Parts: sequence; structure tokens; C-alpha cells
Amino acid sequence: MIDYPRDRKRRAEILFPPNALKAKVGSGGIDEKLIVKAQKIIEETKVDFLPIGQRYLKSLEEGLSTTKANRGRMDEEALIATMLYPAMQLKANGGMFGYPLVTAVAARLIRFLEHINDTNDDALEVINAYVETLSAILLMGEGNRNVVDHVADIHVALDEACTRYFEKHGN
Amino acid sequence: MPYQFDRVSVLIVEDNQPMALMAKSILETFGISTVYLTKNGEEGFDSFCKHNPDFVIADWMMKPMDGIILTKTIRTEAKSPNPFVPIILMTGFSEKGRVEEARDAGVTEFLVKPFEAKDLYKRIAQCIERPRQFVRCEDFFGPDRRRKQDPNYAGPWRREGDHDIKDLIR
Repeated sequence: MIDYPRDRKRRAEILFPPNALKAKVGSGGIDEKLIVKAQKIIEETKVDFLPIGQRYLKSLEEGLSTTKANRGRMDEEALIATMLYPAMQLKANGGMFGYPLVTAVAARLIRFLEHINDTNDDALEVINAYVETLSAILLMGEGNRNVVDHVADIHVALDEACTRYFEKHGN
Repeated sequence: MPYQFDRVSVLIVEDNQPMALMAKSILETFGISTVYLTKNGEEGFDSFCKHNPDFVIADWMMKPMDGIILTKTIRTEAKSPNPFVPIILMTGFSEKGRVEEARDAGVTEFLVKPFEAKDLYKRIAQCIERPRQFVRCEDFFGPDRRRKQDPNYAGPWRREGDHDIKDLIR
């Protein structure tokens, strides 16, 4: 067994708070039917995601513009964060409100943003491709034939763009 | 006998109104009768101090105070009525580094959006059935970050008292 050399160990106090929640609710779980009913609420909630999605897309486009204008002058992490926040909102909310493709594309964008170290020209080109894709999906709608027929191609093209980026720039 | 959720109160802290309302509807369907809604961490902490709910569901990214700062505030602020309250962080992030960041802030459970009703229920049930001991050390206060005991773990041993565990394993 290996003992790692360390200067000091932290003094940790272990506490066992009473399980007040358990005392209140008891045992037995809930009826499976209630979970099915709750899932129906998610699936049948009529929320017009389009204005929400467009608001976050606009914020993403502004983040991209801010990054283009300020790279080299501002902290890279702060610039990436201007795009990360709206991308995360698109990913989180799209799938909850009937736009699973927006979620899928935004999730790939987040993964890319979380792994890049700087906002060079190639990175911005990849991000721009994501922004244009999200814009097209919101503009045409997820049910649009042109979108439906090209979902697989969209994912492949975006994944390949990321792969090419990391092959060139490393992680 | 199923869970008696009728006396349970929950605080939802979420800046996206449709998402907050959907989460509220799901909780009410589960039988939870009292759900407080707030739009950011600042309002959330005020509501938490006022109502002392049984658990908290918070979004990560909010302004002016996000879900991570809210969690740290609930855990460490002197006027917090219950620093041990279960906190479920719901977020679009799923990268390992983000999960660790949330864990290190003192979050109890992590729920990735978009989610299904069963995912939220599982997190709640986890808080009820498998509550974790709390750890207080110089730079952390929150649910024990060691969720699993690995008999093959070879170190490093970070806590005082770990030598006892190490000797037991040997």
C-alpha cells in the first residue's frame, strides 16, 4: 500500500444531523402512478420555448461578439463564461420544453467551451458553427423536414469540427 | 404506507419562471403541499431564513447570487436556520469538474437538466433514505464528499483519523 507524502492532514469533525425529513415523511416511497403523472406534466406543459430560446441565442451571439472584440484584453475564462451561460440555458431548457435538438446541440457546445483554453480564431469558428446551427433550428423549428432529415449530419459535422480543433490545438 | 409529503415544504430557487413552475407542479403531484418560489440566490436565502423549508432545489446560474454561493451561504451563514438542509442543485452542466465544484460547495444532490420526473424523485428519495454525515474542516462544511468506501483505496489520506481507517483496511 502506498503512503503519499503530505505535510499535514486536515482536522475533520464528523457530524450526524438528525434525519428530520425522514421523520416527517416516513417510509414507503410514492406510488409509481404519481411519477408517471408528473412526467406527463413535463411532456404536456405548453410553454412557448421560442421566445425564451431566441433570448438565450441572442445572448450567446452577444457573448461571441464580446469575445471577438475583447480577446487578448480580457480574461479568457470570463470571455468563455459570456457564452457558457446562454449555452447552458439553451441546453437546460430546450429539452424541458419540446426542443430536444436544441439541448443536444447546446450540450455539445458546452462540452467544447468547457475544454478550450483560449478563444483563438479556430475556436471562434467552431463556436460560430454552433451558433448558426442553433439559430437555424430555432428559426425553422425542430419539426421542420430539413431539420429532421439532417439531424444526424448536423451532429457529425459539429463533432468533426471539434475533433479537428483538438487535433490541431490539443486539450 | 407511502411517504407523507403533505407536511413537507420546499424552496425552489430558479430564475427561469416556466422551469420553476414546472418543478413546482411536479412536487405538488408528488404530494408536497408547500412550495416557495424565488428567482435568485439572494431572494432564496431570505426565503430560506423566513420559512426554513425541509429541502431546497436551486438552479446553478442565477444573478446576482448563483446556486453555488447560495449553498455556501446556507451552510455557513450564522443566521441560516438549518445548515444541514438537503440541497438539490439542478443545472445544465454535467461535466465532472462542475459536479465536483457543486459537491465542494456543499450540495447534497446534483440534477442535470433537462430531467424527467423520476430523476427528481430519485434525488428527493436519496435525501430521505440515504442522508450523509456532515464534515466540518477548515475549508469545507457540507455533506461528506466520500460517498463510497473503496477497500482498494491507497490514499492519499487527507483527514486526521484516516490512519484508523487505513489500519482497518490493512
